[in-house]
Amino acid sequence: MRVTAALLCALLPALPAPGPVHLTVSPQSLPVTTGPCNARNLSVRLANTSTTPVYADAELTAPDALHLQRTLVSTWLPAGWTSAVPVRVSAATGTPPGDYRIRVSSGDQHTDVPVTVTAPPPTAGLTTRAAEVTAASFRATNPICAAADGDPATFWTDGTNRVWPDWFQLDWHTSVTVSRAEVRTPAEGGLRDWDVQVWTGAWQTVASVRGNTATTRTSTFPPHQVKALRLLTLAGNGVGDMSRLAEFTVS
Amino acid sequence: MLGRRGLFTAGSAALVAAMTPMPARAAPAGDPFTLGVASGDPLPEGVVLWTRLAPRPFEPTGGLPRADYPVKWQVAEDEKFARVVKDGTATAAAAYGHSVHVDVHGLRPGRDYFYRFRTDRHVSPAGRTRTAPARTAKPERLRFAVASCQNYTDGWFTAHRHLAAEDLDVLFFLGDYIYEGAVSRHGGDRDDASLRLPDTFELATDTLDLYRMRYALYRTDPDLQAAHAAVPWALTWDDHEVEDNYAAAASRHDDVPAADFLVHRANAYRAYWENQPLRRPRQPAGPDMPLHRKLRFGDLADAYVLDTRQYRTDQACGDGILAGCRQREERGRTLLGPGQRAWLLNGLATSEVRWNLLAQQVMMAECRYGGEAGRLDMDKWDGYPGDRAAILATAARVPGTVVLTGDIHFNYAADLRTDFSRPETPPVAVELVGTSVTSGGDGLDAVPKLQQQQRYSPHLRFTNGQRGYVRCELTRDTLRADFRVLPHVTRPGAPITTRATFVSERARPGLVTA
Repeated sequence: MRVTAALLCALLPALPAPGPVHLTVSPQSLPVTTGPCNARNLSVRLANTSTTPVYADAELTAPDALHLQRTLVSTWLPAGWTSAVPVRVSAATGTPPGDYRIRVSSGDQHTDVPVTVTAPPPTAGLTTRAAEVTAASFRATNPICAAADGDPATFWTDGTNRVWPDWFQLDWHTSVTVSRAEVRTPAEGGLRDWDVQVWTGAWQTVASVRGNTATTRTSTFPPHQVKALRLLTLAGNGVGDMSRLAEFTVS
Repeated sequence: MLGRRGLFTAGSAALVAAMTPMPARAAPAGDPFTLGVASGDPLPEGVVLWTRLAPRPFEPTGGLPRADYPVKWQVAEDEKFARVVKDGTATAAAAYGHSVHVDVHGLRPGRDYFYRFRTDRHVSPAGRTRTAPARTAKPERLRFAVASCQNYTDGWFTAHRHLAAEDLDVLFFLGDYIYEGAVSRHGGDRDDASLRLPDTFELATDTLDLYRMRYALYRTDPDLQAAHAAVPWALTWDDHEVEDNYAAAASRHDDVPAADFLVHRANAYRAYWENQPLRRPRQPAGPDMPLHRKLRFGDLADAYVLDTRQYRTDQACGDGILAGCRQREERGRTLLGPGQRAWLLNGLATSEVRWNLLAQQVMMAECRYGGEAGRLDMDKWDGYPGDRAAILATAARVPGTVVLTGDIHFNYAADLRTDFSRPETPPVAVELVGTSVTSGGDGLDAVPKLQQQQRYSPHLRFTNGQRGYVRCELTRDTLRADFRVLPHVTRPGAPITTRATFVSERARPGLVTA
């Protein structure tokens, strides 16, 4: 019997061994509000369950309605190591609300993540409803959306020290009424001087702030019907001499 | 000879299939040679040839599926490839980001060669390379250039266009080949509306896929491609190929554990090897990559290509430009690491050549920043005076030491002394700090900060804050260095001029204006 078993083992083609890399994705489903800065992150986790290092990949695919900032994660994994990599998922303004699906695969494993897309509610602020959020420049550690994500702990910075002015701009698909702009800026190296400007065929300054040292500063101005508004930043309070904007809230 | 060319041009699918154990795959759609060609690390009998397939270079995996491709290569004595002397088939493997490294042997020393690649119906641009002189040769001269620091978002690689037109035996690239930070849709200060990069490039590089994409972006630049195609490069890295100011296993961010950072470093090192003309023994094993090496140019020069990042002790006193940091002088602190240091010191002490070039990253000359008296940069050799003293003590006994440096985005010409506080003593070596290709933007000729450094550090014979490179010629007894500078880099097409020329005698080191 033992001989037969050994013979069988020798003759049978080896069964495909389970790969050493284990893929998991969280969360298991993702609600996404349309708009460039209303993105959510998927966490792609690759675990090396073996005792030798490997290079591992995870690929992501999604329908055109969803935008993935990256569609590949490749990394070296030491033995027993797990890497978790965030993947930003967004849906452009105007994307039809509904259910979509992202597939994440690694080797012969795959995981499907249902994504529910909704438009911002009518009660949402104008920053949340902006169709485009852009800036003069930015850094990888302080991206543009950090000033339009509702989280005052994260902030946008421009990418050029000592070079002024910089700008941070909101665009809407349809005209909106604006009469108030709230700037939140870090206590250390925050914004000192800026203008609030609306687009009326040219940039028109509707409010100016000079010598600011507060972390929250609100400007009010006569209502304007516009499709674009921007903050033109003119000076900061030291620390690398750059623009730092934690949240920009317009109503 | 024509027959060889015919074989290459006609292609032989059966032969290729037989030589390639990978699953056969349809040829890539579109020109896969968007990243140009390169050669490097010249030996008397051969060079490394490099290319990478990427028909859509801004996509992950360059627009190729997870498959391997056979790539044929040829080396010829003439530009028209009428006299092909070596050829073969290599593999562009998906596991190596579809890069191709061919370690060509059997060439003749001190000769120009031309090379190209082919996959299916696509033929790469041709590159020119040059083998090193024979080990026993007594060359009259060696022409080389020193370049470093090419942040894509800071401007155009015009310096490389001019480098491609110089008559050089080798180009030393001393690090910061890529930068890890965000690249905007139009390439930062290039403001290149035709670029239209995907927002993947807004992520700081930390995984292998992102590093591969970053190298692809840089390698699409036509000026950089021209410089690679014109001359063999000998490269080393500095910090930005991984992360700003890292030290060995220490991230610049104190809250990142070493084990996490080593995964990051492994990804960065792997992509570096894949994307440069380096031999297989230089390949990383996880987070470890043996990059330091020696290249010999007859009896005229040895070039020690050093790595001052991978093995260094963490920066003293928390890094920065500091006065009164006693920790920098602690025993056991090292910039090179014990192994590389012993290898270098032994090599210098037993030198059989006229000149020893130390191609490395950070400024070796003491550089006092003024202001608070005696401020020194802890990231440079000033933060590691023990290793510097050992090298300069050896240089004092062995004539012909020339230190080549990058990192700092300024030009400096410096005399090196065993005691920088005694300017009346003769220099034992000289240092040429080459400015950046783009990093720092347009720059200025006269920079007040540098002039202040010169006042505090009289061995700094020259400073300049423009972009460009250093062109050098070594003869039996004399080093000549031309500091070549550009008026701007934020607009393309700048002309190049020689801002200053210095010479130093082998027997009596010390830089003097020519």
